[in-house]
Amino acid sequence: MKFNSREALRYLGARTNDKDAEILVDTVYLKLRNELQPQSIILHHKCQVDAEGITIDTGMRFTSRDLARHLHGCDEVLLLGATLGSKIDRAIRRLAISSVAEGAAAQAVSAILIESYCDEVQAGIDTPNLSQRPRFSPGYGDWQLVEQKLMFRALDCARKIGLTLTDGCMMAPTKSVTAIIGLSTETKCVWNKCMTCGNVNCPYREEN
Amino acid sequence: MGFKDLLGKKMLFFDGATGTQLQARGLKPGEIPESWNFIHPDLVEEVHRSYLDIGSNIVKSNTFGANPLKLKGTGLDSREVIHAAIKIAKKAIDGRPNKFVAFNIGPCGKLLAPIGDLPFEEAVKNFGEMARYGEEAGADLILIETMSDTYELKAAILACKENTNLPICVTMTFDQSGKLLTGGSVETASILCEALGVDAIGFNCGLGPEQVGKLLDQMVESTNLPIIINPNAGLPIERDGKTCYDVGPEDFAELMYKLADRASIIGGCCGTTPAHIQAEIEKCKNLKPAGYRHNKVTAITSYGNCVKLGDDPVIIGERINPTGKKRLKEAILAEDIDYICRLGLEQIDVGAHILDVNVGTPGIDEPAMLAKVVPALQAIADTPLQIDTSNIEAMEKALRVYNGRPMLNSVNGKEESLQAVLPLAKKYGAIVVALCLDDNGIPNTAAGRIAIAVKIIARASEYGIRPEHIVVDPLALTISTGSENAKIALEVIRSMKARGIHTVMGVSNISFGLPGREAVNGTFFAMALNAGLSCGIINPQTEAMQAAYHGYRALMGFDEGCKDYVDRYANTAKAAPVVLSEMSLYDAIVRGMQGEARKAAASYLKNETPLEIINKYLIPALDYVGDGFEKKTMFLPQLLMSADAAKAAFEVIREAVGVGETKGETVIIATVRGDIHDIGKNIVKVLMENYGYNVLDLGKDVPVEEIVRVAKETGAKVVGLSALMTTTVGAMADTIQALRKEASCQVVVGGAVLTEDYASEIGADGYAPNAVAAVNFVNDVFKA
Repeated sequence: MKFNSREALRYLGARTNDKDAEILVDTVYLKLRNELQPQSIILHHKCQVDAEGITIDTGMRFTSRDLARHLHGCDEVLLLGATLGSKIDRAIRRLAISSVAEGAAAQAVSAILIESYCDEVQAGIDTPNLSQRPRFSPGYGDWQLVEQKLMFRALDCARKIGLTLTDGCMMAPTKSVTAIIGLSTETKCVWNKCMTCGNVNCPYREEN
Repeated sequence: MGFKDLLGKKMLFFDGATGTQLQARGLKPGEIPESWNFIHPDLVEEVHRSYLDIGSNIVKSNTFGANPLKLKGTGLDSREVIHAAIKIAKKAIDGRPNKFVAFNIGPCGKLLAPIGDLPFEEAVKNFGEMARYGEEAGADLILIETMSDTYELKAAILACKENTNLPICVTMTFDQSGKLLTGGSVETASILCEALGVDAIGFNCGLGPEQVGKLLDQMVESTNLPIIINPNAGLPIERDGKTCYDVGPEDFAELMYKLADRASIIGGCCGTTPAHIQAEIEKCKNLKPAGYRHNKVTAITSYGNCVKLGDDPVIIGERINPTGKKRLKEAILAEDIDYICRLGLEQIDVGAHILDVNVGTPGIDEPAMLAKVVPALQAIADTPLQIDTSNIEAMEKALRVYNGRPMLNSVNGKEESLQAVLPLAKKYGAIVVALCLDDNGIPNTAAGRIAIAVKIIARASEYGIRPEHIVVDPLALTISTGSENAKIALEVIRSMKARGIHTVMGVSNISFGLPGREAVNGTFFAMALNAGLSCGIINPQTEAMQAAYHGYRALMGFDEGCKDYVDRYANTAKAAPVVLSEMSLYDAIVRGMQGEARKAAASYLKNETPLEIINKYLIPALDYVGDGFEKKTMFLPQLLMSADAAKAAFEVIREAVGVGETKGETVIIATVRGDIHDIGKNIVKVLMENYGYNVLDLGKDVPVEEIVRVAKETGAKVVGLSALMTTTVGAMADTIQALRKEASCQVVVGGAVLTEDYASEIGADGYAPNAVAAVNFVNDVFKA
């Protein structure tokens, strides 16, 4: 799994060329990398997109205008579930108990690692003549978090990859992603995922 | 004959896949298989018959997902589903001999706390309900299958044991590297199952026979139980959006034949058909089952780590024990679990293999405390634990919530102790420490102590506890009051060694009352190791003990090529007296240097009072950094490193003078109900503690009532609430409303999705866009 330390530093809120922060992030990465137990599942479905949401070929429907906008023009989607496993949750907690700086760095590092793992899983999926749009997850924009329940049912996450949902629709283990990826014939995608998100004050928002 | 009469005596055969067969009969993706027990009982029966007719001995009832937790919201009732399913399976058997219904229990679909949100006892309760329904419906045995988490497995096994008398089989799903999804290994999972007293264990799902073959010997070496192998028909392959399995019946049978010599029950899982099982039975029916073995292994485990007792000595870290430790007592009284966890981590860092956990302190609810500390330690490390208490209620609570096979300290020769402790050790599968004392006290001869040890071992066997699951403590009494005391303890160790019984000893007691204790302790530890001591309960942070341990291992050939010894000592000579430039405490904190901050604090303590140090250096340094952070001349990593440095300095002060003098006003913080993000809250906590506040951290996902209760009880003037998700801001608003009604305190809120407007809309007194702002708010409240 590739590790992009610059992204981790950005998540951590470090200023540029902060040598201490760079050492912190690298040290924490070394402590975490043996705790990874990545698992993923990816399903390929046909879909129909309308203004209010999308319906996949099993009949399951996801309701979100932002999701629908994001998937505009797609006839097929990938459903993705991925997790770094529960050992990393223990490791993050362990680091946080000894050092609040290492704890925060561990959050940033593992957030980057799960994204990077998702990229790698997606890269391994052959979608001939179709390009993959950025991942879009429950909780983005107006897509209600409670629809995680549908995603989990569709992907059978608990059984297949050991990823579960709490009563409040949070994922456990925490370093996990579920997402829908639109497949379209357009070779270049014009949106990044932040641009379809309504949270314009998000500190991590990337404009493009 | 019953299932247990045949187990291990005759090769038995499970059925193959049920789900695959139901799909072939029209079960749609997303449809709940258990619903077919009502709408297509005939088809479910047909699947069972298709296996029974070709020779399967055991069919799995169609109840894999019948856990009340999983059926919630489906309109199906667990009891009805289970009764219907078992009735169908029994009808399919139709009175044929040597055929059995296995009541099938699958995972509950939730992760247990602390990694997930399902409380352990809640899991036990739900599995327990299922188990009762299964027994009353007439199942012959229970099969707990497709398990991928040791903790859930423990909950399920305990529930079945507590609610039924049925035989219990367990099969687990490993990945190709032999790991469960939550990190457990073939070894730790197998040891746990055997410790909890199941009847047979094995593999199902996930892997094909070929991959199981690579893991099988690990299981054979880890358990004495008969082994079950129910693999898939190969690894799953995605084809046209469908999951396929490519190993055909003949190949499957051939592969299973190669494994069957180590198994007692074989069958199949996903992708296997009656044809697969028929071929398997044809090929293997005349094989003798491997049955029970008897390896004498003494292993203490956590979910993912296993420590075996043997000739190579084991270090048990003794520091989580409040006897004579003021700072730890204070931490226990204040329920400062993080402090206790740090004591654990420090010992693990210097090589403790097992941690002793003793929280016995006057004035606390020991059962509740121990049941909190054990999972907290297990949530951060996989080092196995020794549960150390004489409080029987605390003992049982801790044994119950422990994830793995723990060590239990202790039982002794008194009748009262034997009767109370041995049943618990048996039920929870603990390796139990036997103290050589009884109603007459501690004998002052080796022979007297050996006699007690022998008696305890004999009594334990009456409870079904084998000698290898007992570790004898000869008891080291101080040589300052009895010159023979060391010799007596050593003789007991030698005697036990000769009988093949493991030993454990709290080593440093030997020097109680003497000056320069380390010299005696280190020497005695080396002598005890040489006499055959299996594990020493020591402070691994003392050099004399480490020297004895490393020296002994190197000398006795346990340290191949003296690698560990060299790793430890190669660089120590060079590191000798480096004179460090004296950095001021202020600078050390501003620059985020923990080590320097610790040193500076220690040296300041010689001339100044704790409050002077805090007010003159510590707080001004924090103010400077906080200011810089707000003005954006300093960034989050710097703020956090400074916080760590200040915290280290604070801890030095507290170790020296105790918490009392430095304890400030009380502030409550919590992440609200439904939200499990706590990083922001944890940063706020550390910053506030550095300012001297007595921070009561209620954790994450905290119910409204709990926050209100603590606010009322403590009369805290400030409550800080955190929520990261838009979905949980509602819970924050509810909490504020409830606090308004029942307590008088100011509420400050923070979290990624909040804005100042939003904060005032939900009725908060203050909005903290970051941790520094939260501290400033609190400072203002108490200044006013």
